Amino acid sequence: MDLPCQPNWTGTCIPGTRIGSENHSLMPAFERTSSPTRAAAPVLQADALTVARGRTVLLDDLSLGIEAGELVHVAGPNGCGKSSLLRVLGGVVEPRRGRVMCSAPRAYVPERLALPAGMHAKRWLGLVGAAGVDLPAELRRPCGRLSKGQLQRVALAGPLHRAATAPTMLVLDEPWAGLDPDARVALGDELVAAAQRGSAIVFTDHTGAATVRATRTVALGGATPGPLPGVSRVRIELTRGGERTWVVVDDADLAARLRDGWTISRGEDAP
Amino acid sequence: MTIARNRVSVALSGRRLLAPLTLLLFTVIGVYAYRPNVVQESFAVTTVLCAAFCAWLVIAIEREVPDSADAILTVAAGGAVRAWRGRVVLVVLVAVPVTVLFLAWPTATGAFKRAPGLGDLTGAALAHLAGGVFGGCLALVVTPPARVATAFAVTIGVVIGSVALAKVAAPIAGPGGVAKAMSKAPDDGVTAALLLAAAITLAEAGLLAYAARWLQRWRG
Repeated sequence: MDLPCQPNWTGTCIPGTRIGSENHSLMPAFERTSSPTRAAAPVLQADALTVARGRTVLLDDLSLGIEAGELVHVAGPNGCGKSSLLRVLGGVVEPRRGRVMCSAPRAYVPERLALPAGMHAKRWLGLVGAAGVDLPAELRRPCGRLSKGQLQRVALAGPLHRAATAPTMLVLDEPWAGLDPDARVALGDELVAAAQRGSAIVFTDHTGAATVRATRTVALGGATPGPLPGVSRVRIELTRGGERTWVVVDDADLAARLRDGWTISRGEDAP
Repeated sequence: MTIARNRVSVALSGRRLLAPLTLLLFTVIGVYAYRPNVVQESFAVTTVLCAAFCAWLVIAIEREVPDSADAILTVAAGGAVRAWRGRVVLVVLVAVPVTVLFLAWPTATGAFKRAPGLGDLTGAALAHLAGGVFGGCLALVVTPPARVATAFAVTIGVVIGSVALAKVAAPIAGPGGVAKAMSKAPDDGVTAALLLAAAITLAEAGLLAYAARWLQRWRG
């Protein structure tokens, strides 16, 4: 049976979904066809965790539960243990003490990304259980010939594909790093959709590039929970020279467009 | 199994395996270039070589996987513990064909004074597998994130040290001890000393594998 399908921002064509506009960007979350399926059971439960690197104890006696549908932002200053915590939550390393239980399959994308240079991106996705991803032409190359942003898109395509097919625990370390404005907004939309389908997401965002509104912030290293990452969306008309266009944007995307020479002629709250 | 297969797939996409594989072939051919050879002593020598080459091959495979790709593959395979088991499986998957090569080449090409019997081949297979698994598990300890030069230095040092230790404490000397027991075995026979040395070497390999897991957790 052929299900309706449109390629998303990574070029992934996931049957049964209708995500992304023709230019793969700027489709607001409220236009999605999927319906929320929130559940209260914790997808991931961490008890009395001690996270350490060598002799340095970064986090001690940390307990954390993440439920389906949650978007959890892990915040804190440099070196406070955000990435180390995500490595433990993702299952990359065992905790020094304590335990992590996860009832859903996990997918992880690290911050400093390097994929095998000689391996074709499509082959890589096959290794991480995302062989069904239909990559766009510009990503059908060996990983060593992809730009940082393209590499990030390939790395994210696997977890997003898994989250599109079944509820998944997504552990994403700076997932917006290296992406262009359209892709950042589209990634935010993908994550919201994944959460609505029952996945749980935990992420870091040190640069303020996030394009989702987290449901919760976990502050580490003495940081006080500030404003949640992600911002309200507005519908605005942009002009540049003789060009004129209506777009739905959030703050991060808007800032990028203003730097790119656009000016706002009028705007309104997005529904 | 998945993590072992994925690592081999990644390794085959790069070039790091070319050097050890090429030198392995030259070594197997070179060891038996002068004929005829004594069965037990020859297998004893290749037992030690098997340990060194398995270590080199495992280092090459491990180094071919970037840290971040390793993290993604680890999670995709089900987590750190499963990935660790997968790396141990990888060691065995490397040791088996290297063992087969060290046994099959001289046997098939008639490099020995006499045709090796079933007892010879059984003992040699056991010795080579024990040595190969020991070398592979040693490689798991030293790489990554140790630098390649450090990994090689430690590996070569341990293999040479095991040969030296075999002179005074053969049963616990790892590949060197197994090689010594192999060289003392009678024609077409498997001795208790060989079985004991192989068992102890495999146990030591298990300890090394566990040390690799502990180190990974300690590094964070």
